[in-house]
Amino acid sequence: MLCAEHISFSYRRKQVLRDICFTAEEGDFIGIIGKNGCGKSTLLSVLAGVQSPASGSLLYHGEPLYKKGGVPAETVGYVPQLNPLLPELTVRDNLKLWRRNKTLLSEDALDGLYFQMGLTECFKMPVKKLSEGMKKRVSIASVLQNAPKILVLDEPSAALDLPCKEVIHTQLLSFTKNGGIVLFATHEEAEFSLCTALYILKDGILQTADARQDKSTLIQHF
Amino acid sequence: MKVLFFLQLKRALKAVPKLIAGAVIPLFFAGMAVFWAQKRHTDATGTLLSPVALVNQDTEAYLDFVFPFITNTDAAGSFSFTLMEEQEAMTALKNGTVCAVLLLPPRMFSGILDSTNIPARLYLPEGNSFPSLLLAKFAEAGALTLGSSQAGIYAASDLYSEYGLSERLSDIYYEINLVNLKYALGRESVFSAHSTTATGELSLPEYYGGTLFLCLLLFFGAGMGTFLCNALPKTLSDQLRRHGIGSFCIEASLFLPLLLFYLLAAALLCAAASLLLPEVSFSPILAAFLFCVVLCLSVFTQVIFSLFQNAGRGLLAFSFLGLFMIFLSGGFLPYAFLPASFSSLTPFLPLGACLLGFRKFFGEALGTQDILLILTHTAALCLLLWLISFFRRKEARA
Repeated sequence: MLCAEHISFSYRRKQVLRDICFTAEEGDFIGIIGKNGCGKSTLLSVLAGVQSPASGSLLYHGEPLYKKGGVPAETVGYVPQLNPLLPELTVRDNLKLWRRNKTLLSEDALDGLYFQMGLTECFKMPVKKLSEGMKKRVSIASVLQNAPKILVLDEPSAALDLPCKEVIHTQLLSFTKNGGIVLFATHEEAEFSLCTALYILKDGILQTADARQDKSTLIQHF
Repeated sequence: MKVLFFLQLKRALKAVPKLIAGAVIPLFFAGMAVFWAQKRHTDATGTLLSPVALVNQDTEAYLDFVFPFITNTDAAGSFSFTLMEEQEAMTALKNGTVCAVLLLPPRMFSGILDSTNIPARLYLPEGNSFPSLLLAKFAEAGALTLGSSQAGIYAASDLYSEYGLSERLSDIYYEINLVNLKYALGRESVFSAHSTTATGELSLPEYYGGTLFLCLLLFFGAGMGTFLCNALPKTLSDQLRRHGIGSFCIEASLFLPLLLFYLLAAALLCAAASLLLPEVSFSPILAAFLFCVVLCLSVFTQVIFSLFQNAGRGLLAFSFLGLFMIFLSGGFLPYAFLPASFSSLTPFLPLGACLLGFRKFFGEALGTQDILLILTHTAALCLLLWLISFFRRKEARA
């Protein structure tokens, strides 16, 4: 179980996150929505350990996730909004960069994750020649290949076409079925239905929302 | 971390042809700058010529023959003669645009031949300037030479007539001329050719060779710096930190390809230099010096691009700072044209220390102290890089 307790964060004098608390069980698919600039990306980067919170703690099975060197990448996989890829290098090289166990790359490529993500055919292509959708798939695959327990994604399907969204959703659902926890920020209404829990971030405070509510009702909470 | 080093190297190798091609444009500008500096240097020598107006009142046809003779003699080498009308010449003298007016009277040249000796007039401005005084002295010396030559010829002619040897006079004219010239004026001792240059003991190619070498290395480095800077968007470095690769290792992974690229560029330039200047011999101390220059430039490049974290701004700052340091170190214009303080400032600038080393190499005075100076600058830049990396890490954690 993942448990966030009283997490706060400020950019200098501006407090962005106030006393954030939530829990998530294995298999949970948690969506975070809110206005542009409300702090969703900040919350996810804090949960992923990119930025340290001013106060609060993040516990996984009762053990603190924040350690001296940040949040361990083998426990929490993070897919930021902008793809952390080296554009001149091939897909294979980029996957290799983020892979912890270097020897498994070709084995998985045959019938594993890379095939399911549709990456095997573009293994030798430079990333700069890929579409945005393919780049996002590479970003997600580079995290999933390390089999993290928790997956944090910042708007993973923004501006992608339907087939690409479908591939990503399938992978994320498969991840949660295998006991993983997904935390993601989104503006896509269609993705609300994937969520086991939905939260709205407003004025730095995280509030529970009902994913079954219609759009106009949800907007009132923004 | 090994993978990151390997992949950065791979990226750099892939980009090498593009970077070399990209260096051609700044190279063109560098060539223009060096050409301009050299041109300015040459023009500065030209302005030393003192203008003299030549007014010809002689209607005989001798001037076509005499004018090139006057303007091309050693004595007249410091003067620039311009044919003018008398009125125009006097106005120019009054305005100070000429330092003297030399008036050649009617029948002057035939007068020299028939010994009537009609004198030329030399007008000098009031409160004579140095060029005017110089011309006056030259004219006086010329008149004395001419006078003594004529006196010698007349004396010999009278002597031969008195002894009834007038028919043989034409045979000895040549010898008389030689004797007269010998006693009249020691021209060789008065007018000896000395070449002086603002670049001191170094020739122009040697002086600007060092500048060019450094500029070319800088241009290659600018392309590489831009390329490496593009490689590190914030999301990528954040993700690397999450994977336990710290700021220092990230900087090191960028530094290694940068250093190798600079070494490659230096090797190419050395190969070109050995073809163009076969007399230059490569010694162990030169190799050590070049390695230190490359090391210093690599750290300098890394500091600038790491500080600005933006390819465009980094490139601007890198080019400006690099060229400004070279300018302050007398790389484009020799110290003779710059304020005196620039010369003492040079050893305190990283690129200045490199330029000093190049000059000492061409002056055959390159020593370990020059290498140590560059290494000191490199160490200082490393410290700066470490501080940048430290504050960056602190900022990322905040």
